Amino acid sequence: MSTTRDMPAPIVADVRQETRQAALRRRARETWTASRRPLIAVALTLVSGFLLVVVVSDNPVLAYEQLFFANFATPANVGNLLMRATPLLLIAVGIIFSFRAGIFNVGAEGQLYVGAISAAAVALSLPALPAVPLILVSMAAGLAAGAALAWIPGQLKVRFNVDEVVTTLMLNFTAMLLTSYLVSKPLRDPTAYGATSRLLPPQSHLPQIPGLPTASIGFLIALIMVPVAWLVLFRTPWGANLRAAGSNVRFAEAVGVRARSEIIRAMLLSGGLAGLAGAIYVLGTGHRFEQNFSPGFGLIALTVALLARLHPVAVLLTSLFYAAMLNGAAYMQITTDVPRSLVSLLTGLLVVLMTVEFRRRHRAKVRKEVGA
Amino acid sequence: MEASTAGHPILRLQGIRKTFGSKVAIDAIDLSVAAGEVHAICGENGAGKSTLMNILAGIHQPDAGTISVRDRDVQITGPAEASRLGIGMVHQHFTLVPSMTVAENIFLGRQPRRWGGLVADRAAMRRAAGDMIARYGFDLRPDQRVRELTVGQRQRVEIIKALAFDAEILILDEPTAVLTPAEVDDLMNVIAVLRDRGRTVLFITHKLREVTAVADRVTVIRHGRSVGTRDTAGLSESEIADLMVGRAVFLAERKQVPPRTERGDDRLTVTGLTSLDGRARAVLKDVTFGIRPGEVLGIAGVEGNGQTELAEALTGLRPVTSGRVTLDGADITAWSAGRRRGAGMAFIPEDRLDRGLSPAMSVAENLAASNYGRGGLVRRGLISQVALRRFAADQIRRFDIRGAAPETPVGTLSGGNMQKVVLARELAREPRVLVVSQPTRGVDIGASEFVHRQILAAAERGCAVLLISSELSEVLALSDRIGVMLRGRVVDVLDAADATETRLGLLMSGGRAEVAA
Amino acid sequence: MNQFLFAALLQTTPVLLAALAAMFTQQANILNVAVEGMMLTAAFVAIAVGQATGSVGAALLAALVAGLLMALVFGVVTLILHADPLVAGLGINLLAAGVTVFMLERVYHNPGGLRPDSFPELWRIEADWLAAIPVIGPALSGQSIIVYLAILLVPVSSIILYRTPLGYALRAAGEDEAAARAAGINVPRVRLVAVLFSGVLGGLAGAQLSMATLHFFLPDMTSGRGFLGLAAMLFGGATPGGSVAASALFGIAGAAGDRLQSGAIPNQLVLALPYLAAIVALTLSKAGVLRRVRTARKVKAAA
Repeated sequence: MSTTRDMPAPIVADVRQETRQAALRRRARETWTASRRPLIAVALTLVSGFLLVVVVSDNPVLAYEQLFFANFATPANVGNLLMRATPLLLIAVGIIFSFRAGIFNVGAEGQLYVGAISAAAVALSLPALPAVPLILVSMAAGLAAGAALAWIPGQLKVRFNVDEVVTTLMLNFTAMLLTSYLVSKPLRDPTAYGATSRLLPPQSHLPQIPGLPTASIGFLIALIMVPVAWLVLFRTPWGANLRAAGSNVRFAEAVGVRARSEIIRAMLLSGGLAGLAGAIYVLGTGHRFEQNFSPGFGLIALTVALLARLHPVAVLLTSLFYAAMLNGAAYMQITTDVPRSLVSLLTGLLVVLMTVEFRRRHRAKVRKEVGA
Repeated sequence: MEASTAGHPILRLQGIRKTFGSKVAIDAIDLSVAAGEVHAICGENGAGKSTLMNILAGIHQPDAGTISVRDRDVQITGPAEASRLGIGMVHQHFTLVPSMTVAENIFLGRQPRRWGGLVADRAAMRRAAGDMIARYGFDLRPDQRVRELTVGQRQRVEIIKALAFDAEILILDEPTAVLTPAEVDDLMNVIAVLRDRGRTVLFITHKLREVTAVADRVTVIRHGRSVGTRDTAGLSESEIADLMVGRAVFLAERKQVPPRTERGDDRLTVTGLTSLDGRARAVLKDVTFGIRPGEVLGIAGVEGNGQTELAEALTGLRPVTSGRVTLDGADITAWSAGRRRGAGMAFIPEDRLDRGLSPAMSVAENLAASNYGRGGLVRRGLISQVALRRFAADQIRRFDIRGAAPETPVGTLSGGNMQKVVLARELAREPRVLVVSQPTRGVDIGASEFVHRQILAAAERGCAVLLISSELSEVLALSDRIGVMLRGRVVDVLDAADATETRLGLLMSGGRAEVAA
Repeated sequence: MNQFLFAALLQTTPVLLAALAAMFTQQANILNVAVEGMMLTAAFVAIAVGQATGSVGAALLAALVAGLLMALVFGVVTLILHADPLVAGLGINLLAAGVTVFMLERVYHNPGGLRPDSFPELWRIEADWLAAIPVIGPALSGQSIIVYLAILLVPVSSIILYRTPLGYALRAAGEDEAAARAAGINVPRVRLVAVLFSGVLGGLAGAQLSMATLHFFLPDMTSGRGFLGLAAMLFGGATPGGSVAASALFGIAGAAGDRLQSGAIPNQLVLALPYLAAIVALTLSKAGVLRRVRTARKVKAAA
């Protein structure tokens, strides 16, 4: 055997060491390229909206002003903004994990609902517990319920390669019907009008954010998820493996990543976050479970996540933007004569425009099938 | 279309040249095909055969050269034009719709109509298909659904598709690649029948047995050029092999190969390895060999003989039906890919874009994948950016990866540099076993040399290397011992000293190795 | 019993039309989640135009055009501008919901719905000889013409899909794009045709919903029937026969659910069965049990 154990003499390659300035400039450029498409879609939508408002209203400028800026007019409005953003943010972070792992969980609405009702059921059945444990247990229940619901399509996908888009969509309806049943019979509040649960015990209510009477600390929980998600996705080996599985599953397998496990974990995580969002809503805002409490948070969160190009930090911006629009619609309607459904219309337009490729290139199919 | 007189060239190509970007697929090819003959086109992978046939089928346009059909210069602008000229092609990958019947597939896109053109005339389709089937004596029924047919039968449907509209010239691209030996014999009969019916058949193959069995003449193509056309009567397989085998020279060479016995026990052993594909056909049959530390075992063979499957089975990416794999004495047959890597196995796959890299991710992340455990990259569960960048810069320097900074998306690099990223990642693990497949495919000469030197250096550091390559000269330059893979078996393992190009070329092409070297 | 079958057929029809709509696109390998939006828009337009013109014919035509237009938007955005079909489809649904409520609020000043005082009757077919047919006769007699159209569309769809050149092209494009291209088929164009077909059928479904018995429009009138049709189509293996069988099953279950107000089986369970059935059918077919069932293809999604 040869005694030389070194590598052959290296040819000195021209490794471009980036200066800090160059790195910043590159990041700025990358962010601009990445945000170009969503920004165009948003701009087009807002412009169309403005045109509609001009047609419809005598005071279009005031209307649009109300749409955005009324959100910051009073502490109460700010609180409402944060509360509206909370479920969007939580669900969107979950969606980011699942989509980046290559699994398209569009069942957030159902996971939200089962999370909400589980939290409510637990809180109602343990009224003797003091605040902190009760809140923790209820949130855990919500998280577990959402994760459990997402686990089913995940298993069907890795074992039988059943399309997760279809299964999660179908389970949305199933979950909503399930909670509808539960809240009309076993969990129903006999004294209240309509399908709604009893009021949750007072110690289960999430504490408020000081200075913002309408906001609960649920927003802070959601806010924490942003840096945590970013860290996990981009600064841990697990996150790197997850992203590898999502960008090229055959590569991931070749380097030893168990694609099946990653998929299941991603589903559990995204389902759990959606369930947690439901729990936080019920504990922090509604204080009871009402059927149809969600104005389509699941779908809107999908929009929010895609608009942010699946980036955890950007999603904070897009969820606040969206929450502002959603609440702003109400303010706009009160002050001017523009109907709040304008925002629903614009949302639809935005979603339709959002994934359009303005270039004529055909996107390569990056996702591959899991398993042999 | 008037029938051509037999023996007269029905098809003539002169000076055909085709490049794809900077890659020269065909340099200068001349071809003359006589009417009514069976003409084989022979050559190794990458020689340019398929490109040539695609030009004839109208899928590509030549950059230079002339094509004349029946003594008239033509431009074959597309598949429709090729069909009009009487040229039909049967591709290697079938274009059939599984749920439709034979007749429906034949007439897809050109159904005879009824009721004012609204409805397809299924009876007419069935009748016409039945006529064609009978004319060639195929064992098919027009109403069979394609998904129920065997591969051989599907191929016959493709042949009818190609012939259906008075095609005089039929081109078959590697027709036997997917057939069982019995089906191959059937196909040879079919080709003979076609010739009897006055058709001209052009078929691409690298299997010499078929050439001598059914072809009248053979043209050999090597590195984009035609090196000769011969009558097959009286031609021996070894003569064809001589023409086919390349003589590219590689600079790296195995120094002082110590005798095997000095290396110690086998580090990697493979015993009776058998693996079945989705249709219960054996893709690996009873493969047995061992590799010692510091040894390079080369596996030669034309692609598609089980090499991919062998690499996958060894690295844990494909289940095995029977047999054993051991690493340093431990039975790893049932181990996952991750576990094998943990035990010191590294893998450089044959398709770097498919399995070797994630093109969207950065160079650093591709380098670090599965390497996070080493070199202080991870502290308290988090990846240290500083350490990652340093690690990446280190590898970039060591492996001379040009045009790359740690953050560069790896997909923007050239082929050779991408391959170096894969190499760097795998070798950074200081592996005990390295499985490397087609290491210099699509890689320029300079980078190829580098890759070879790295592989040899790894061997010198005690790594047991399995080198799989369809480039014969590469195998010869780097290996201590050379095995040849054919139809899922390792047919023979020769010492480097005994292995000549001709001998190996013959084994690879399915001929019988002659006794005298 | 007769009343029950009548109600069942009434419930089945929009689901069947939605299923057929989804079927055409599914055969072209597009998972059409936008059927709901096409139905909703059509339902609204039918009432609006019917009220404005007093003509049932105009209302029906307008509904078909509305469905077609929504489908055109979906097709252009997805096939020509290469948007993701799943996201674009869900967006179409949102857009439809938003547009209809917006029009209700803005034009009709009544966000609760559009209820014209007078509205032309949708054409019905009512005949004694029809009612005399055993078992299904009484269920058939008195239904709107859309119901008859829907029933007729089942064999017609079968003919289109399995016997016309267009049907061949469509199925080839959906099953093996390479084979279709090799045969000279213009794959994007054929897919667009499938999408437009589904728009017309969705429009028909919407018209049936708003005009057949009620003649008014409520927000979210479709309440998931588009997805129900999707589920029926999947459960039925993306074939006309399977779709009608599944839709009938769901229609009967729905009508039965209405009847069993109280009782051991909760209404919601009955309503959930279609979705669960679709999941089970897909799993079984993928797992190789139901080999002949057409399986849903994976949908391209946004990065």
